[in-house]
Amino acid sequence: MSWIGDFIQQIPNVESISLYIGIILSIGVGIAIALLIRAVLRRGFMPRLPRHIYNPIEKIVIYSVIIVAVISALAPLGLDLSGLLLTGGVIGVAIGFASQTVISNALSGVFIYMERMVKVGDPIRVEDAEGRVIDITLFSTVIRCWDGYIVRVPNSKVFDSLIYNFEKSPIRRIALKVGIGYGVDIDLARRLIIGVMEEHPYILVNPGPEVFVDEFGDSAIVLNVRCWAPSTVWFDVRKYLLEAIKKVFDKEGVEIPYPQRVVWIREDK
Amino acid sequence: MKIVGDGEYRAGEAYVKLDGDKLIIGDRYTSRELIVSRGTEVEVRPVEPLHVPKNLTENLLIRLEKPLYTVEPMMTWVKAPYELEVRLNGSSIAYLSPTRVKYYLYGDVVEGVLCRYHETGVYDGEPGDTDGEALIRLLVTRVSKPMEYLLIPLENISVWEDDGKVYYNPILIEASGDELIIKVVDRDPHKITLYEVPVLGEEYEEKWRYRI
Repeated sequence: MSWIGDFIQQIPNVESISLYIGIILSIGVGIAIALLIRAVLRRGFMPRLPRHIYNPIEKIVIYSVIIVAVISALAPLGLDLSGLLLTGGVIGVAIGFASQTVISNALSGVFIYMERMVKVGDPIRVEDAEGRVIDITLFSTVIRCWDGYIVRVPNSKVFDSLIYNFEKSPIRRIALKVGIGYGVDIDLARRLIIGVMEEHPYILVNPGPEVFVDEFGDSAIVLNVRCWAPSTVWFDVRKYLLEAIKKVFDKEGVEIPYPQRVVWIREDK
Repeated sequence: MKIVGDGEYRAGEAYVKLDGDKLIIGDRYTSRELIVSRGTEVEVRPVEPLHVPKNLTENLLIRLEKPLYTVEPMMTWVKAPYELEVRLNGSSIAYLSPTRVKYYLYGDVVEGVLCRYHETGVYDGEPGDTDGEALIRLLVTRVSKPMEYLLIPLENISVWEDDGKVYYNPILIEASGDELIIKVVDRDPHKITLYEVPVLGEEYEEKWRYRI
């Protein structure tokens, strides 16, 4: 009859059943919290971050919460997890030191996305790299420079640098300096330049173009020519404008002088 | 308008000429010559001014040469730009602008809205001379200060040709404080009239409406 006693001993008592139920409930609550955090993340960050950046972040956060919940739930069974936590902590610190740059770039990538200062397709200048952004990954921003080079800039560098985004505003100013001879009628030159700018479709009516004397140079009166154009066609307009001003000046006989030196030759008496 | 065989269509500075197997199209900004087979059907139709020289905006800003101020409801006409879409056997091949194109930034440099720009007079009756310009009928209920600019989103507006003239949908302008509320009215501009809807009390400003 000893087998009956063994069997009765193996039947879990009420205390241990409630312990197991408690563990299962704790894990369940942990999973529920993880799902809640996921919902909050999806609502707050998913629309702002690209998929390839958001997905790993979500997975890291969710699995961390679940692991912590499971470890905490199993603690009443007498599992001593302090050693595991200690080992994990030491490994974490080591990995942290080793991957400081990687994490810095990754966080900078997230902040660049959240700040929305730069997006794929924008023409930008970051430090010495100037061109159009063709990709923003978790760790770097890839720029196709105007001369065709592909430049990879680590995100931490992008985040720390001055970023010039040339199409963030709908319009952009063009500023040119044009020299005219001292004998030229300033009003005539101004009228001709304004005429060229009014004729061009992309040079805006508002803010309007302006031409004013900037300085009396060594060999020319320097006019400052300013106008605004839509950012997307800024370079085309700038290219056109210099050439058109030269042509209209040639046509109307307005002199664009070049540097001159008057040389006096001393005559010994 | 359709051109089959030899024919020519001109509006302002835009032209479409079909001469045998040669199709010549152009405006102030472009000029092209195409070889087409005989019997090709060329269709020219007015559209919103969004494409020439390049699609940069979907808003039109009209500046009134003389600002308009009224405390009473009134109806008036203004001129607006449009473009011609050239289609060959149903496929679009070009857009032409009968008038000069200019742009205007409404608002500040960072947050402002880029608009296609046009200047116009204000006309009591329907203008007869409209070469290269379309007509818009304005229904102004009341404005709180002289109105000099009209910003019209072009995304939901229609442009069509009727008896040699080009029309936009009529536009209803209502004042709300210092703001103007601009509504596109889906009606024939010739058949729309203002009339008084009897309402009570303080809703005076609400009592004018439009009807067919």
